[in-house]
Amino acid sequence: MAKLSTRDIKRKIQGIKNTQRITKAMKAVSAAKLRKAQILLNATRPYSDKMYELISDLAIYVEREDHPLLRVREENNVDYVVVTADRGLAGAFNSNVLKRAFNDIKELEEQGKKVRVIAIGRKAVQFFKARNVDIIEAYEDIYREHMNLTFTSQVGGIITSRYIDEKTDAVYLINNELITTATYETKVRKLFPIETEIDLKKIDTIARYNIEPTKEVVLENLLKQYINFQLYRALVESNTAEHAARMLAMDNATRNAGEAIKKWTIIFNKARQEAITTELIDIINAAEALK
Amino acid sequence: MYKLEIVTPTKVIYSGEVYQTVVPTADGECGILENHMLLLTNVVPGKIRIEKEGEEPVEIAVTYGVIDVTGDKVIILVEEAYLPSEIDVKKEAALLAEVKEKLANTEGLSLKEIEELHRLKERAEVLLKLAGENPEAVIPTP
Repeated sequence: MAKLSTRDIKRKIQGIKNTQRITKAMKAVSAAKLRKAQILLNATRPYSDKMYELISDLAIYVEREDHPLLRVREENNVDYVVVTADRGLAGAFNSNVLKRAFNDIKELEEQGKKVRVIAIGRKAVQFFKARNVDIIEAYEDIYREHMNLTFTSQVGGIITSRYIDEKTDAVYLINNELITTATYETKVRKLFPIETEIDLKKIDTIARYNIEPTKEVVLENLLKQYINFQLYRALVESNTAEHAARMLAMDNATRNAGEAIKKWTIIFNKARQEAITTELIDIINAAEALK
Repeated sequence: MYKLEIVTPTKVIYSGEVYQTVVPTADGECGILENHMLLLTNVVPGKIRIEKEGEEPVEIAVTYGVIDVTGDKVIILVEEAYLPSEIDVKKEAALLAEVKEKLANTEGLSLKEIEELHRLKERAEVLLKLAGENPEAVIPTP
């Protein structure tokens, strides 16, 4: 490294301090957003629980042949719904999802399957566009205003009609989910064909259930609501995890900046001492010469 | 008395022991007392009336969803649910106007999109009616 003057070092330290100020502010903003997002996330839990209860009730008296959305086909065409954030600076948050999705897609394509993608979040859109992956639909800027059921029913509508029209044989949803405030995990879920588990304890109620007006109509509605909600939950989960990830990343960045400042201050002190010493030697030498 | 739960994706709007619940379904209003037969049906936009002994009935405006009457409790899952006073009249009126405008010219729209628009229209009309703002809307009656 070329020798830096004390002024250059000073400037460098100031630069790091400025960066640190930004990362600190971003951390505080993310912490506030995380709190808000967590409230929203917790609010979805009861609905989620009840929905699973209902679907597992339903699984008992419904057969796979009862509705096109439950039919299982050979998976030749596969759709991926990939959920990332709009912004970066959140550690490996986006790349975790994208890497996982891309690996899965490559693997499926090697098996001779056709994979298409619905990208939610700017990072996902950019990623798949750059890699020539077939994109069905791309959505950006939805977390701020459109994180609601109206938006998800739009997406849900696209994938349900694709499944019914047999344009796709399986749909996967991939997004990050918050495990604890400090950790998140990338999860892949199968949306279609809908997977159900049968609770054997409840099996004796089958014959007694009444479904009005008809099984088909109720199923249609319920399955739509289920898919719609799954997508909504994925958005909320991803949004919460994003803020947690960014908070963590910014916390690390702030700490690293602090360490860098310490390191450069020592270098600065050394350089200053050196300058003083050389100056002193100069003066002494000059005085010596005058004698 | 039985346990009733009304849940939306964003909150639990009601949870408690009730005497009777009157729910708007596709075939008209449906009153549910204890030991009702097991039932699974669609909920349409309208109001749910919850009755408890010795208390004023509670009314909740809901949109689309499902109701599951099981042996030990009743679960109602709806997309949205509000107390009539909570309905955002301005927002709903604006939405209704927008949807009506789109419905006036449906050229180029798919059947699915038109269906969706009708759904939105019905939803907004009923919510406005329940907020006391749109007396024209037809609410299913038994």
